[in-house]
Amino acid sequence: MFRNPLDDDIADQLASGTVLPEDAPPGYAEVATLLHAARAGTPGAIPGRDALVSDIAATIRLTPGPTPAPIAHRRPQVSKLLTLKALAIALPAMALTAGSAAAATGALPGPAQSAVSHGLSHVGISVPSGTAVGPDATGPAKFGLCTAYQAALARGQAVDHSVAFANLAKAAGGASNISAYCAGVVPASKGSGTTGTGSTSSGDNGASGSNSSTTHKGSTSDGSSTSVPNGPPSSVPVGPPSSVPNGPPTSVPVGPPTSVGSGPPSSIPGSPPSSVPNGPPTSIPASGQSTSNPGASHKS
Amino acid sequence: MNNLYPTREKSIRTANVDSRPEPARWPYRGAIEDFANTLHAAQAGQEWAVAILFDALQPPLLRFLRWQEPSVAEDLAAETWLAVAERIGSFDGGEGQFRAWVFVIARRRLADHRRRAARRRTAPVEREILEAVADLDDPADRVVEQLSAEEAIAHLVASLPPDQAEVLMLRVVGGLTVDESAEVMGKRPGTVRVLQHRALRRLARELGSRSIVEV
Repeated sequence: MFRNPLDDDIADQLASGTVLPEDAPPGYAEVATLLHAARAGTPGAIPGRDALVSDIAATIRLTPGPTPAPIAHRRPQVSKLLTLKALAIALPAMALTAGSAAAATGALPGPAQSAVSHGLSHVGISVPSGTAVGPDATGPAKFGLCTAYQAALARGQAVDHSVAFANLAKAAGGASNISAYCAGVVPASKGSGTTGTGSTSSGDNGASGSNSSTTHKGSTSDGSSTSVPNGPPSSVPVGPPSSVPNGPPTSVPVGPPTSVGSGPPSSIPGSPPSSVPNGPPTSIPASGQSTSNPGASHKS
Repeated sequence: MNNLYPTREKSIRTANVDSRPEPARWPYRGAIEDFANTLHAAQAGQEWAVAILFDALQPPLLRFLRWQEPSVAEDLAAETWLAVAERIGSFDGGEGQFRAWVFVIARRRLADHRRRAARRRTAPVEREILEAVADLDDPADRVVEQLSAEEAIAHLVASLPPDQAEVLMLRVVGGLTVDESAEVMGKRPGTVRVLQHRALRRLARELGSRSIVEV
């Protein structure tokens, strides 16, 4: 007789365990009692409760918020590190192979310059560090500095933060005089790295600031030079090259031509320089490797 | 339909059961004061708030898990809380939904455990239940009123098919509503209502055929 149909509401209340036996429909007093008992109980002390609560709270604090954003936050940092690392590796390679005037003269932005300098120091190459005194703009570095300066101007970049620029400005007798100071050194160029002065006579082609397969050939890396120039060249080519090389280069750049200081060259020498630099480099590598400031080596 | 027992029905319908004194209770639905703030603080990892949620849910959680996997209930509960900790930041809802959510997680941990343990699951559960039920038949003339919660649960579980037992466990021990239980079990509320009905009828029949309810 107790198996009478149950109203939904009654069933709900019974099943929640909150119905007291005396309120249960006939036949269900025992069920109510049982469920009530199942619900009741003394939880007592839960072993390890405090430690568990601490762990849970700590886990919550360590766990990133509602969205999986934190993962996205971390990733860029990792890639940033990787990028810096790659940069530190790539830049020295570039400096070695491409003879970037900017890096060589300390004209890179501070951190990059430091990174390059640091990276190069590991391979025994000395390049101005971020806090160094910078190249002597009155000396052999003048050409590189002026090239970098004009390249920066051409790109509309501000250059006045670097030590090298400060030196250049000092040598020129003021920032406003740099253009005039450099006028005799570097042909006024509309672009950067495209001076195209290279291949004719002076061996300056490597100084164009971008990739030139002839840089080392024209400079000191082959160790073949016997004398060292000690002043600026007496004459600087001002016009376009009288002849354009059209043969294949005799040497291939080792690193990627990551042009730092400039845009793509408007023209690339297609053949080795027709002439050997008529002035030896300012410094002679000790072991056939380029050990001096590459910027200086551009200057012949 | 229940015309035979009109007065009983009425008293049940109107009774405010929650206001009645209960022998021993721990925080159930609505017992977490200012749940929204507590949740918010817990989401920030504040221990006092975590403690409130833990104290409210760990006992029912443990009972629910002990019923299913007595030997690893504590571990499964810890796993459940770890998962809760990792995801509580994205939880949004009231206390009832929170309870249901925690039980959903517990149920998944349970399923994972069973998958891992696949065929290693042997008699312990059944044996424990049988022993508990055997206790009920002890000539010590125990009455239902004197049953501990664990004994009552053991009896309930031994008397019912698993799905019916689970409905009652979630409802009675977990403190969940029909809808919340349905969510936890992945069934429709209507299905859970049917299971609930069947469970109650079956229990009534079982208990009626025993003499342990002679009060």
